[in-house]
Amino acid sequence: MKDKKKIIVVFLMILIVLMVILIGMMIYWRVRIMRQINADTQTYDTYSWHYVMITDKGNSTFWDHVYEGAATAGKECDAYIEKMGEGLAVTYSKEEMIEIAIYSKVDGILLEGDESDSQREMIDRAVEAGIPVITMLNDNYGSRRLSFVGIGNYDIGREYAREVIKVATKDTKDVLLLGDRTYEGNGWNLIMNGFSDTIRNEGNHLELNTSLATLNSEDPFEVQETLREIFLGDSVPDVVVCLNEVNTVNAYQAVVDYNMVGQVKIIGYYMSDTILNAIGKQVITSSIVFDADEMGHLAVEALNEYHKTGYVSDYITIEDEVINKNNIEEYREHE
Amino acid sequence: MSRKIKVSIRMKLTAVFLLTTLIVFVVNIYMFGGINRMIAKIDNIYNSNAELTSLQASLSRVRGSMLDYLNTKNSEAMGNYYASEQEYRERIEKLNDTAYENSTGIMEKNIRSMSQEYLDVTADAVEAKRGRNVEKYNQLYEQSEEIFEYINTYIYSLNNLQFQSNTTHYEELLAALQYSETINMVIMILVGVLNILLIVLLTSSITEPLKKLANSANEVAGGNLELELVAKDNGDEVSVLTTAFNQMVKSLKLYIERLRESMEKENELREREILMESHLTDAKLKYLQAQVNPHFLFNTLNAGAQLAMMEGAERTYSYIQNVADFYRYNIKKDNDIVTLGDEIRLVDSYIYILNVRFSGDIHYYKDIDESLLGLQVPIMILQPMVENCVNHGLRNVSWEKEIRLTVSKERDLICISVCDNGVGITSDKIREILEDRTVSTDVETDSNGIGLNNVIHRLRLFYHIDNVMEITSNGENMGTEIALLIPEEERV
Repeated sequence: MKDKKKIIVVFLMILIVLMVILIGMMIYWRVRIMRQINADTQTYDTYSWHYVMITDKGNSTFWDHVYEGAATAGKECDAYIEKMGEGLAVTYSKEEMIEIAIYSKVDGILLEGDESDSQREMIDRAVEAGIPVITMLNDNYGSRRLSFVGIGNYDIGREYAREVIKVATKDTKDVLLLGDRTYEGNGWNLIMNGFSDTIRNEGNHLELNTSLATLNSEDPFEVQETLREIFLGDSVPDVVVCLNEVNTVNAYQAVVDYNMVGQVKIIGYYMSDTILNAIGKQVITSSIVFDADEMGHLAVEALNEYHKTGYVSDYITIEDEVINKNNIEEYREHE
Repeated sequence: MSRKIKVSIRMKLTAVFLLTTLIVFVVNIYMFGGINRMIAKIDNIYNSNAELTSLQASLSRVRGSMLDYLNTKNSEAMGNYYASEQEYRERIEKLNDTAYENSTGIMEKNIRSMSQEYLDVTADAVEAKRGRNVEKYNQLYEQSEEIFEYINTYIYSLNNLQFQSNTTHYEELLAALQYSETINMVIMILVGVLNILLIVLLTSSITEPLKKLANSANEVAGGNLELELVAKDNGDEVSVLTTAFNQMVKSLKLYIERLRESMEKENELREREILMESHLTDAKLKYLQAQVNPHFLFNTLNAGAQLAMMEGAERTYSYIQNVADFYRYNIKKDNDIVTLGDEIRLVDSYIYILNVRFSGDIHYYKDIDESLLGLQVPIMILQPMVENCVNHGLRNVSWEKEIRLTVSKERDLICISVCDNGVGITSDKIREILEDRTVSTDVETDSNGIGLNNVIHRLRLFYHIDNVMEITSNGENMGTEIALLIPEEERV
């Protein structure tokens, strides 16, 4: 009898403990949920400066890296960097976004430059409204932009020419440069100048036909169509030089798809996991890499410098590097 | 008995009921409180969306009224424009205008800045319209449309963004709600089990003592009064009952003890009563004996004897002398113990008297071992035996009547036998006499009042042996022998 009672009492205790634990869990959980829900409106850092970053291809790894660098630099100098166009229901052109930035009275614009007149006009309007503009990666010559951060197109042309000379044999005839719309206008000229000058000076033993093509990355069907024409046309290029990250990946895919690995050499632009693997497999011969992080960082610093001193260097260069199968491991470790 | 009901069963039941109800009640209140708070939170969630939607409506009103004015240029439209412009301005004042690390926050800031710009441009356009500057108001109108589109897009997108995040919150809340529902259910079940356990504990604390009590009662019913109940001192009605039961068992024991004592006393009384009865009989005898005034009787008998002597009547003298001896023996012997010789002398006198009375027709023979004459025996044992022979055996016989008295020693027993040649006795009668079943009223018959029964009883008491007398008869008219068998030692 006494044992039975004891068991019941023990059971009772266990029950009570269980209940206390359950109720505790419930309270804890509810408090946590409430805190999480309330958190969104409260615990954000505020900044004195509001900069926007305007690019075409918001989604590429390259621009993500640029943004990261910019955001880090922004934190250091009390500036919030808005990735313009993100979360908007409408896709605006860079010019429209500059206009929105002007109406939004931001404190500075980081712009992926191109050589178009419309952009030049918008840059001038922004500057007129008192908003400093910094072009990145590609410059817009003749505009009233505050500063340019990147490698100049002429230099890029030279860099690629050197890579082409490295892979070219006496059978190499056709070289195709795959660009995008940012190169339209003056951009192409600068690249071609740099390219031809270098070939002339350093690769005069080669007889190369250089042609240009533009891939409009905003329209995937157009990209596919253009690549089809190139690789199934009469004259398949021996070397394809890609002038942006998206083109590099597309060209790589096309070479694999049309079974032209080894036949067509690809010289890439920037680095992603796909490109890295492709260099490892030697489908892509080499890729020109520069520190995107650094670029964003320098651009924000330039804006900050301007706000502080009213003056900033007109032209800021960043280092570039060629990655090929020889130094790919080193690069991987570094990353 | 002292009343010490501290916690009665009623109170216990009420307490447990109240406790369990209270637990359920509190848990429910808590749960409902939580659920209500969550529901309120859910209600709040889409508030921001509603605000944005009305902001958009307000913006459209500004545009609409501006257009109205630009088209019609009437003062009412202008009033509308200023009213809606004022309203919109108030609305955008509420928007965030600092840059903070949150996409919705930064969008709000942009909307606010653009809206200010928009209001400025529309104000300029209205002003230009009033100043009839057609070219300027057209240009400003176009610019305002541009900005309107941007703002619209931004509000729309922000609405979307917030909707998404609200939906996430909503889902989180919903999940929390479901989670708490589950927990509530578990807690309710646990509370239920707890309540049941409490009730089981309570009821067992009530029924267990009752069961014990019932078992004890059964034992008592089975006759075991020696058990001792341990009364539970929790002060409820059951313990009162237990105490009462214990008291009852104790009282029962006491009562039985008393009953036993009184029965013993009663027995004692009855014994004494029987003793008294026997004494009474004894007294009756003594009384009868005392009825004859001995002095008078002996004086008269002595006078008679002297008269007979003087007249020379030898036989008369002898006769009267014998009668005197007979009665003297009866009366004078205070002592209960006499010698066998005395007894035989009494029989001699008795026979002599009878023979004088009935003209000497009884032949009396004696065969006596002389060495046994000094034997101590109870008084008045032989004469009743002889009287019995005379009264029952020889009364109505026509032949010569004989009585034979024999005293002999057989091994360690003394045999005293009185034999007659009378009518005999049936074996049934013998058994009746020996088994003491005769209802004798000897006192009233024609005898000196001492029957065979009395003799047998006294001998049995005296010698502490049952088989003290033998009666034998060889059949009808064949005579009867009554023999006493007594041990040689006087008394054991």
